Amino acid sequence: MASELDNIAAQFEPLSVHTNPEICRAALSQVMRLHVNGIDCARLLPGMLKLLAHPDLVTKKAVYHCTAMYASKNPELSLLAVNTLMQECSDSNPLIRGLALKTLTSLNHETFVEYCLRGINQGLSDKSVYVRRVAARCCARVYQQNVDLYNDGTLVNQLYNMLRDSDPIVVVNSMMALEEILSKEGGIVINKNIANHLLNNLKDMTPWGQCYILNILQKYKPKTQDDTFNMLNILDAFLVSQNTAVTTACLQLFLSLISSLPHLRPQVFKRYIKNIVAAIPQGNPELVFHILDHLNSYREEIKAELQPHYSIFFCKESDPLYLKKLKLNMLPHLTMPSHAKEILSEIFLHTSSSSREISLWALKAVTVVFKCDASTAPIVIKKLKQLIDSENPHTISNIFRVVRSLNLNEIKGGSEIIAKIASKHQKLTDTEGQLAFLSVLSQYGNLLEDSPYIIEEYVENFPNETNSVIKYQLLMTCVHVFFHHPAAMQGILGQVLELCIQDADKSVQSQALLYYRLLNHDVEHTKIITSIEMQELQEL
Amino acid sequence: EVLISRVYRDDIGRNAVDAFRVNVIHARQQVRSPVTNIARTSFFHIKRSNIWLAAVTKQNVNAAMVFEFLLKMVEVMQSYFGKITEENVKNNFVLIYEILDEILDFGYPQNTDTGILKTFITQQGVKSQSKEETSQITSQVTGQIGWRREGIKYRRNELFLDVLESVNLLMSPQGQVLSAHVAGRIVMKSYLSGMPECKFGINDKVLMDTRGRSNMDESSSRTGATSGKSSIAIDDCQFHQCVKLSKFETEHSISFIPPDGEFELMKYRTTKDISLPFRVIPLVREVGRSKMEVKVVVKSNFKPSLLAQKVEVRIPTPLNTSGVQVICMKGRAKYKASENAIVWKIKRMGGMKECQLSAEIELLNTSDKKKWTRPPISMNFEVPFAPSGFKVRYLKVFEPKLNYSDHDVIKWVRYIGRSGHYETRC
Repeated sequence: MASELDNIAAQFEPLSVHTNPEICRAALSQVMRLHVNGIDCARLLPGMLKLLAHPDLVTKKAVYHCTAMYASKNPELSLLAVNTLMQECSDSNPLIRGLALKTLTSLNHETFVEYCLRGINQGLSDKSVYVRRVAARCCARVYQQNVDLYNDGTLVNQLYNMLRDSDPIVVVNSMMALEEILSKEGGIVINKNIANHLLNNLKDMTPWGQCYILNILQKYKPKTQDDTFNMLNILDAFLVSQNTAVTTACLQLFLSLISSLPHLRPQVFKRYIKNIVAAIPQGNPELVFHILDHLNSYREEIKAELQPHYSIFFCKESDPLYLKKLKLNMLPHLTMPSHAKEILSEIFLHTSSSSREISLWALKAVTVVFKCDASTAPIVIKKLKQLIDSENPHTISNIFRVVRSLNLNEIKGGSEIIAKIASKHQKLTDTEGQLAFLSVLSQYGNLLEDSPYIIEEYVENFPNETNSVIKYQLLMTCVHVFFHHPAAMQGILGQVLELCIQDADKSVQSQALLYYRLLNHDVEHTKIITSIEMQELQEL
Repeated sequence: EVLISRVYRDDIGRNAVDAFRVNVIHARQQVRSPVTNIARTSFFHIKRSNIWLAAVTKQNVNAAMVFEFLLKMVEVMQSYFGKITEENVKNNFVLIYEILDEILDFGYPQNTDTGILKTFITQQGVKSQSKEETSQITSQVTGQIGWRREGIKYRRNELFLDVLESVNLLMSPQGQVLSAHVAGRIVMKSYLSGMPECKFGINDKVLMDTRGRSNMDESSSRTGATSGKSSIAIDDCQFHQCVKLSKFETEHSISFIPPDGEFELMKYRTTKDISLPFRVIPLVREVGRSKMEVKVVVKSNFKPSLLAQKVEVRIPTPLNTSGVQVICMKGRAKYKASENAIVWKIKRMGGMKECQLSAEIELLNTSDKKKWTRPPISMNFEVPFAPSGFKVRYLKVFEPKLNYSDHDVIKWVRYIGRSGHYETRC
């Protein structure tokens, strides 16, 4: 490591401001590479400073960058740089002026503050737009390093004046600087004049500027309704902008402006959605994920507007998992009788996916669709029957987990499903599946004749069972099934209670004791209590 | 390995890099959200092949904006040196730092317009500036007619218009279109003298409605006014900065002074009345557990006089395929085991034709109980027309100061429709 640094230091020896730019650049890129990997290149600083006044712009930029990185630790050395930088702040090329100013203010050390302020003052009233933009940003940067500077308000006043500059980026930068500097006071105060000025210039700004200003405008509260509507009119164009970030920021602003006019919300959402759904099918997955996530937070409110656009939630093959999850999450809530079938067939496609998580979410989505629209019952039942026959181990376990939330007691064909499912329980290998099966048993024990015998199997295995959650569930299931088939279960229940009371795990033990005492005391009451327990489980 | 890192504000330290590496790149769960929160710091990332681009912040920012910015950054870098690969990044180290320097300062995105960035960040490096060049750059940076300089002269005034469309389709096994859209861009290469004003006419419903009332339109007098069939409905479009938007809003005409050379005039999208160039009809039959019979019919749906090129159909095969026998009359089909697909390539295909491929796929008997979910059949192709129905009606050039008229300009138009995500489920 040290040898590598020595090597590079040696490379810098012969270089000067007159050396060929290619050689300089090569040496500097090596330095940057080392820095990125965490190696401290401070000892190379003297060598690099020789190149400060090099005429090649690229070399210059690289040197400035490196200087800024290490200056705070080496103030004496950097003093050498400051001289050159101050000179370059008056160079004829605006790019160099801007660059010099930027670097000057990045030298994070108190000895340079005075020079910085001088440079900034000069920059703020520069002829070139490029330099003014840089100067505005540098105000904020200097402030970040030296918080107590701004007790005198001259710079702040100047920045306020810059808000009236002709170039939109300068306006945004000044805005940003003022926000940062006045952050202790809650940032800049937007009065009507400033708000109007910003609104009029919004269309000339870059999309990032627009995002930022739309955010800031949330601070302004128009006094009259006329003013509000004027603002809304101007902002309308941005609600349907091409850039999704701008439309989202604009939506937020709209919603805050019409907080006193809630009846306008559906209209606003309608317009926003119409535009945003155009961006979704071709957008990058990360961006689409965010837009959908954002819409999800308003889901209940905008259901009506989203429903016609349900097709955007169909998953493409190449969608990453997190996006598929979100889509499967949101899609079922948009069911309407007219296209319930289509939505269901899309979801069914994913139920047999090879990914365990996707198949689980798809099945959950099916239950949501079913809850929204009970007329889909026959299709759902048919599909479930088909899925049960699947060879996939995780499909079965997922089905169990999902069946709990469907009220199969009231569906035609529900008992067939239960019987079919029960026959497959031996294929379950994972804990969640087993737990789910046990709670299915407790819920639908009345539909299954053999439930006591199935439980018997489990109970026989009880001493070998190490997972206390399963033991707990088994106990509860036994009690519930007891009320469905009292005669058959009595013996088994006794056996289970005995085993549980002697069990090492405290929660199992205490629950068993509780049941024993309840049953001992009053069987009828126990029945009522357990039925409430079951209801709560179902709602989960 | 960290390739490039740039810190804009002092609140993020070096350990952020390590945190990201451990928690996101080497995370064990499959589902990785593009946003991660670690210790009150948010990491937003996108991944392109094996390069990760991450933006880190401690403040509450607009997530959509961060991603749009990351995507724009990728776009800018691609316009300089092509695809984002490790090699390209290492070779253009200094350039990328320059770009990062310009587009983001102190954590706030500045100007990301590729055209403007290219004027003062060039790959060869800017040589010592003469006074004149300096003033040019400054005026370009301030955004007056900075996209075209005065005094351009050509002996032959020519312009080339490329209508490049990408058609995307998702079709159900029963042949129902689940979603379809066309994303198009018009790229213009202009070699015109002076500062010519150009007027661009297309067959968009909205534009034609207003033009139907105005006079002097050669095309509408030729083809008859707004007939519903020959016009298309554009959902939304975006223009290059040189297009005078005020004229677009009032007269619905696209009027501009073009930059010299190549530039993208407009971007648009349509979702209605798309003429899908190809229809894929799949038929899959599983014979027991050891064989699968697949028959795929591809029908081309455009004028017989046109030819589609580079047609490729990819039929996915299960992972436990042991061998494939393929028969096809047109083109060449090969089973590519490494890609788990049968790739059927047809060099040229005319319109209103039908091609068929049948394949017998032998499967290994596996104990693996997982059922194979069939991925959709995807297609790639290039057709010499615009699937959206987009048609250039005219492009008129007016240069009052110099002595050449619209008739003296040589104009070329070509339509290239390419496949984007063209998938048929089976």
